[in-house]
Amino acid sequence: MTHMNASVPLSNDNTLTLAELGPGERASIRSIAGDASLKRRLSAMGVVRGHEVSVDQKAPFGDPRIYTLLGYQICLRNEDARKILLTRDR
Amino acid sequence: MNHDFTAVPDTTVPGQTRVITVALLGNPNCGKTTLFNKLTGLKQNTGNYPRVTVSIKAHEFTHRGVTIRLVDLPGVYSLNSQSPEERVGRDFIQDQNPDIVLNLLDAGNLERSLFLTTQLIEMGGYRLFALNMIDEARKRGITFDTSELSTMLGGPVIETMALNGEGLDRLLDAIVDLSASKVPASSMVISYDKHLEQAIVQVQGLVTELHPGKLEPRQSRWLAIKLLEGDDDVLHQEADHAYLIEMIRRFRYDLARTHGESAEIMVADARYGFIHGLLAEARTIADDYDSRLDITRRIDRVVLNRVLGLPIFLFLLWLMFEATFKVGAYPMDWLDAGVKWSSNLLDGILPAGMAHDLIVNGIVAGVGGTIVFLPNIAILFFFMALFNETGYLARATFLMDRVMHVFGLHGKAFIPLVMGFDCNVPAIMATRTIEVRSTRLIAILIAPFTSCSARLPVFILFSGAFFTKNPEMAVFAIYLVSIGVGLLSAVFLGRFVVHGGQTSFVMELPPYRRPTVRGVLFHMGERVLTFLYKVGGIILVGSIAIWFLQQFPRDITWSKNYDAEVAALNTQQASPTRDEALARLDTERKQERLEKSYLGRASIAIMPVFKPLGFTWRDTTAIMTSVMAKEVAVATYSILYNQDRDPNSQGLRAALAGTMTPLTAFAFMVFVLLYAPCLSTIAAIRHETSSWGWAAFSVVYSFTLAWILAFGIVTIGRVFI
Repeated sequence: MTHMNASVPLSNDNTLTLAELGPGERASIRSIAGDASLKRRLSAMGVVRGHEVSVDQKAPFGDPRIYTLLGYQICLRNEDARKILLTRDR
Repeated sequence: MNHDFTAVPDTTVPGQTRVITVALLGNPNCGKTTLFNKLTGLKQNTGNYPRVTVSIKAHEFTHRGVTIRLVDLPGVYSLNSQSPEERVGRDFIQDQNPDIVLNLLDAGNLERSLFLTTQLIEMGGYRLFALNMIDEARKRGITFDTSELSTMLGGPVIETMALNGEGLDRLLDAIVDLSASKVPASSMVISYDKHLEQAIVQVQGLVTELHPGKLEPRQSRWLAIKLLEGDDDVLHQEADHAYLIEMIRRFRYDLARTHGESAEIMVADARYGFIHGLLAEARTIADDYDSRLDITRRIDRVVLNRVLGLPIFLFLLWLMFEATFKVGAYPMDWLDAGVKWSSNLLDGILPAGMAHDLIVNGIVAGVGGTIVFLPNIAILFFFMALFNETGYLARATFLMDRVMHVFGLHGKAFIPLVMGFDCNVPAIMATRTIEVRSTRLIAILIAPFTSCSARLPVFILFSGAFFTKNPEMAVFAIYLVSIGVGLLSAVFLGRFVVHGGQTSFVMELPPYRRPTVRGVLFHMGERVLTFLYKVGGIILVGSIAIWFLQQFPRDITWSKNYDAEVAALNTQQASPTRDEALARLDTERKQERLEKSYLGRASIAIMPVFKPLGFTWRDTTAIMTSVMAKEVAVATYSILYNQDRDPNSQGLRAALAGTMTPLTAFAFMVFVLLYAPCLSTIAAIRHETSSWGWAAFSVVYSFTLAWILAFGIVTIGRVFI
């Protein structure tokens, strides 16, 4: 599956992956990499461009983590969270 | 997955009231089960088909003289072909064409709930919406303009609280009204990006040409969107039309190139765009949106704490097993006493003969031996229901995911596997919490390797007979083998047998909720009934079958005339020697009876398979009979050696002691641990996978594995000892 996230500048200070989001921070989803299946799964759960996310809780080994999105909590493994690119809110 | 929806019998009889089929669709955790139970419990049931398919339940009831057949579809987040549940839901709506789809929405979580709705809208048809858990939303100062929502969603919207029944009568009224509607179902569309829309129109045109006269416009548009989204099932269906597939590939490529975004993301963006537009119009939010999660977050800070989280979880697990075994032991004793009492009673009433033996030694022994586990199962599922209802189960899964991940398993596989140490059957049933079929299948296939409590009597007997110095160590080693084989099997199956196992772990964590007595009892009751159904079915049939195989053929050629020898001995003067000789004759006769029965003959025929492992025909018989239930091995040995059935019995141990080397005995224990799951477990695998194929695979796989391991132990062990 082709995805065009390569065109997004990764060096931007405001850009980070969901796995890098720290406690208390809020950021908006910018794009999702990964295969079509993961994208569809995440879309169905509201992980879509423009939605705001924050971290709630880390599992004992730091993985997976719980995030808040659209007023509910979702749990993702870090390997999947790394595929979700965010823009820090100002 | 079983797609046989025709199993819902059509009860429409000419001249009777008509039946409206209403499909209940919604996300997991939105109160769907509660609503289903409330609606069907509120009204007198006129039909009940609880075992229709694995995933679909249907109930019938009447409202205002109209019969409503409510079909409970599995809880899903979308109607793609991502999971078996999604496929079941989509196929039902597409192929069975229910009169109305009732879409249940979580009022406090509408953005996400409505994603499913956008797909429902695109499928067309009559629809109705229940804005559920409206109380939670109201508490947070959220209000809705339901008439505006109705217009925008193309179907009536009713505010409900499934838990206390608020709004349900109006919901039923709306169903009846809608079913009488003469107005065609709203044919609204969700509009997409200009280029995507052009692609949809072109694909739709081609699809209509390829299926002339078969598709209504809404169906062809739906198909076009699914194809462009890259939906595997739909692409597979259309795989014959190479030109169409190529066209879709081109469109997807072009869209990704010009928009920097794949088509499925563009589709999702447009759907959420529609949702945001809708909510901006029809919803008012007063206070902080996130506030409903405050209590949940506070509890989680303790319960999911990085230091305390696992200890708390292990404590709760310990508590659950302690209650299951310790508290369950009391009613188990009562049931056991009841079984013994009825066995004795029948023993006294029934005249001696075949019928007597069949009922007392076959049916009562077999069924009674299983039914005594009912309290354990009820208690275990009480805890499971409690964890599930409160929302803790999802958190336990979250805590264990990392560990399970190492073995290619899902966090959700942890609880079922732990339960396997009690009994594999509820363990396999509990894998239902894993949505991804491949991952669930792996969990189902390794569950039989967890050493259930039924195998313990066999291990106690063998370790006592062959490892007299430290029997506990032998049993402990067996448990280690059990865990090791289970986890390594998961890795093996995931890599070579069940494909697509390593899927991502995307899970919603429902907020903590107070459990309701009704909800907990309902879930517990459901499991208990499944268990009883199994006992009445497969265990009953199996007990009878094994009894017959042990008893027939009746006319065997005896190696000597027992009756004459007994008669001769009886003429002698009574002495300890004579009594001993009589007892020996009796044992010999029983053994010969068994040896020449169908079961014995089969064992002798199969024996060559076990010869390399050093097992005798008696061991073979024990292996064969204990397919019914593993503890039957002990009973078989007691018949074969004519000793007490108690695994702690000194006599039976002494009789066994010389029959094999400790090495062979350990190999036998490993074999009994691993080989073919018992009948109930096989039945559970068949039921939960909806496939005899997987049940057969499980038998063959575990048998092969057991044989190889036992052979390895015997062969390698011989080198060292």
